[in-house]
Order: sequence, then C-alpha cells, then structure tokens
Amino acid sequence: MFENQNSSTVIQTSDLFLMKEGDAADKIGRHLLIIALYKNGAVIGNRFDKRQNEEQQWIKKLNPTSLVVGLGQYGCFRSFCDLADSLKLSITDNFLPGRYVTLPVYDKYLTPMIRSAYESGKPLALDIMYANLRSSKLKMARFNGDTATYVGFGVLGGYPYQDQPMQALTSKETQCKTKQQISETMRNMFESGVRNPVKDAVKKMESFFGEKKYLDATDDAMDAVQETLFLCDPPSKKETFELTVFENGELKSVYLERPKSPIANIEAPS
Amino acid sequence: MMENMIHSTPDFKNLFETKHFALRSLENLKSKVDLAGLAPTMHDLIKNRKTNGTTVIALKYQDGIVIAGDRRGSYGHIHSDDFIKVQDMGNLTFIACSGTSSYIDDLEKTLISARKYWENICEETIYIDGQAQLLERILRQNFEYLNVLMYVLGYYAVPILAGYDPFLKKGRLFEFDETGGRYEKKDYVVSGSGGLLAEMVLDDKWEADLNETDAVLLAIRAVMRASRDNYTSPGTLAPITVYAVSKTGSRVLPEKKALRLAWSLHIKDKKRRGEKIQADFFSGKE
Repeated sequence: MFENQNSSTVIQTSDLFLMKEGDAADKIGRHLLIIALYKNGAVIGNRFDKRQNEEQQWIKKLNPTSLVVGLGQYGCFRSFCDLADSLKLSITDNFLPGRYVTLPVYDKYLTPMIRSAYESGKPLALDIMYANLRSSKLKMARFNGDTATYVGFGVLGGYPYQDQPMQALTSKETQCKTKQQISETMRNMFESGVRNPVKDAVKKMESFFGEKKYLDATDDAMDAVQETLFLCDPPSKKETFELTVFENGELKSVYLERPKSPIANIEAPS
Repeated sequence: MMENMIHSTPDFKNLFETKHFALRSLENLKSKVDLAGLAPTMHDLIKNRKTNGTTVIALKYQDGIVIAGDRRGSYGHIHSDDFIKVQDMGNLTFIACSGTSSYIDDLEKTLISARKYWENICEETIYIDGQAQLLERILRQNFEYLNVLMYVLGYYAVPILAGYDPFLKKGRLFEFDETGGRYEKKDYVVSGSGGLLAEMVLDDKWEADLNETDAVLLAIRAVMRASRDNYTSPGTLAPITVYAVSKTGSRVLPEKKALRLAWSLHIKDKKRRGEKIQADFFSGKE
C-alpha cells in the first residue's frame, strides 16, 4: 500500500506513522518493567515466563556501575545490545581504554539511532532506560525517540489497554437520549474499560520514594518493586516475576509468584 | 527492521570524525604533494635530511614521575634556546617530543583537542592512559596519510608521555615511535638525539624508590650528560625544563633553581675529575 513499486522508498504519511507508532506500542505491551535505585545498587523487576524468557533478558550490564534495561520486542533489544558491544569494541580498539566507555557514550551514540529509526518510518518496538549507580538519575528513551530523565525509579512499558471488550448499547440505554448524550455514554463506557498500568505503577512507586532520591537498603527497593508489580502489572496466565539486584557489578535474580487474590479462590458451593 | 539499521549504521569507525585526529599541516600537504613525482629525489632527501637535536627524558620516582628536557631548537648550524619542549597536556599528564618543531606543535594541539572532544562525549576526565591511546591513534592515522614521504622529509615527531594515573595510583611512562607504536616503560624513557647518552646515566643511577629531590637531580644530570657530547642539545646554555608530577599535582622547577642545581652538579663533577672550573655555564636569562 505504501510501497513504491519501482523502488524500495516508503512514502511517509501521517497515517503510516500513526499505524507504526501504534504497532510499536502494542508490541512493547501492557506489562511493566520497574527499576528502583537504592544506596549502592538497583533492583529491576519484570514479568517472567519460564518458557518464553531467558533469565535477565531485559538487562544489559554496560560496566560495573551502569546498565541499560529494555522492554519490547526481544529481537530489537538483542540487536540494541549488539550495537552497544560493537560501539564499545570500536572505542577501545581505536580511541580510549574501556573505563572511559561510560554511560553517556552509549547514550550519545545509541539513543539517536532509536529516533532515526522512528523518523525513517520504522520505529523499533523497544523502550530503554539507562541507569547509573553513581548518580540517582535514570534516562529513558522511548521507541519514538522521546527522552526523559527520572530520579530514583523508572517504569517501562505499561501502555494503556482495554480491559473488557466494548458491548453494544442496549435499547434501554439509547431510549429517549439525544445523539450527543449517546456519544457521551459511549465515551464513558470506553474510558471506564481502559487501564493505564504505568500511571498506577508510578503512583505506587512515588508512595515508597516520597522526596527521596534513592531508597536506603536492598530490601526496601525489593519490597517497593515487588509490591508495585503485584498490584499494577496486568493479569496474565503466567504470574511469575523476576526481581534482579544489581550491586557491586553483579546481577542476582529471584523469582516470585504473584499471590492469587482471595476472590479467585472462592469455589462454587456444591 | 533492526537488521536494516545494523547494516546501515555501524561501522562505528566512520561515526567518529577523523578531523579530530588529523594534523592540519598533513591534511594540506597530502593534497599538494605528488608522491610519484617525488620518487627520484627521495634518495637525495634522505641523504641531506637535517637532524633535529633534542634530549627529553622522563623517569619514575616513588610518588610519581619527573619529566625534563633541554631547550635547544636547531636547524643545521642555526639554533635557538627558547624552545620549551615539555608541555602540560592537562589532567596530570605531560608530553615531551623530539622531532620537527612545527609537527610537535601541531601534534600537541591535536592531542588537546582530541582529549577535550572525548571528555565531552564520555563526561569523564581523561588521564594519562586515555591520552596515551589518543596519541597513538593520532600518530598512526597521520603516518598512514603520508608514510614514506613524511619520514623522508623528516617531518615527524617522537613523543614521550608521562603522568600520574589516579586509578592505578602510580606514575606512568609511555614511549612512542613515529609510526604510532606505543610502549609503556616501568622505569624511564628517553627521546631525541641525546636520548642514548641520557639513557646511560639513567641506566646507571635509576632506582625504584627514588624520592622527588633525587629524581629531579638525576633528571638534570642525565640531560646535562647528553648535552656534553650532543652538540644540538646543550643543557649548559639554557635552564633545563623540569616538572615533577604526583597525586597532589604538578610542580615546575623554577628556572633559576634548575640552573643552580645544574651548576652545582657540574662543579661537583669537575672537582671529582680534578678538572679546572671554567666559566662555561651561563643562561641567557641570568
């Protein structure tokens, strides 16, 4: 439809951009990846499916004090990591020893690639976040090239989704109503079904951090990430979560099951 | 999708602009010189090449390094004693070069600009380890540009880089050749036509646990020894430039003090050999 038959040039239209943008956001999905900083390290939490995911697959350690986490299509993140490796190799081969390949170097060379992919009409289904333990700042780059800096914690993914399918209006609901009233009812129905996990997660994490730039201990950060994930990550078939601690240049993971809600255990009386 | 990106972008080598590493003088020369046309005259050029006499040295002591150099710039029989050959590159790192002075000047400026460029990129202070690698890159890249011609014309420099590495908590010394070879030394480095003579003194007297005063005296003695037999680098005509660098920073030996120390060493040597003291020691500044 958008391909020019005589060449591989893609005709960029606003529709195409919107379509690709929606597509990328869909692929990144509704699930959350949360990173919280504490005094000497960081805790990263995300949903984990033993069958589909590798351990720590969304985490790329850049050096002993910094890492990048991503969420979206795993192929995109894998390629992003390969680029990071090849960047490091180029610099250490030609210009500077490894310890000068700091987080800003990756940020300055790799983040613009995400933007250029978006601008060329091929957005990557990938959101990333750089974390530096030496400062309490986290830098996020979204699939469309937007960047933002956060303090203390950051949340990736969690794009809005429709909780329940829309029902057709019944004759009762449309009775004696003007066209405007009907469209208002329909909008309310639509909005009441839309969930925004990232907003809820940020709100919950803020309650742990308050005015702090980072939490005091590993346990505090683990509790904050765990509680937020259990509360805000959308329900799915596999309810396992991976919590990874990054400290002293090492990554260690634990796996937790989300407790089922008490209502789910109620059985029908025999 | 991502594959396209990979194929189109990195070779990262191309991302880093070469302009930060190319000496401007060589860039201009490259476009103007016809290498093939020059071939017949190469033999004569090599035969009549002017040597540039210099003695620059650097040595380690227990807290850091001492770097020293003479001040003579020469072209055939013409010379001047105002060349400061030891230069501060910033971040506890010093450079001293032998070779063509215009090339040295260009090399130092290019190194400073490359260091600042990369400091902006990586947002870190680049100390001697990083600067040594950048210097290697500059030398190698510019040798690739003009290779034989550059050497035939005598348009090259042989630098030594010395400084304090705060990460390893010790002084470090690097020796380079004109093609970009980089060699780290554990004790001392020398460069220039008087280097071999200075090396003999250093080889004899250098110890791993020298203190700063002894290291400065040894540096002066080594440069003076070289100047006695090497007509192009006489330490007896102008004060020797001496810097000491340790974790607390860098200190320059004042000119008058450098002269006085050289003078006292000179007198001591004369006395030891039972020679008459002559008025052969003066400075243009005194």
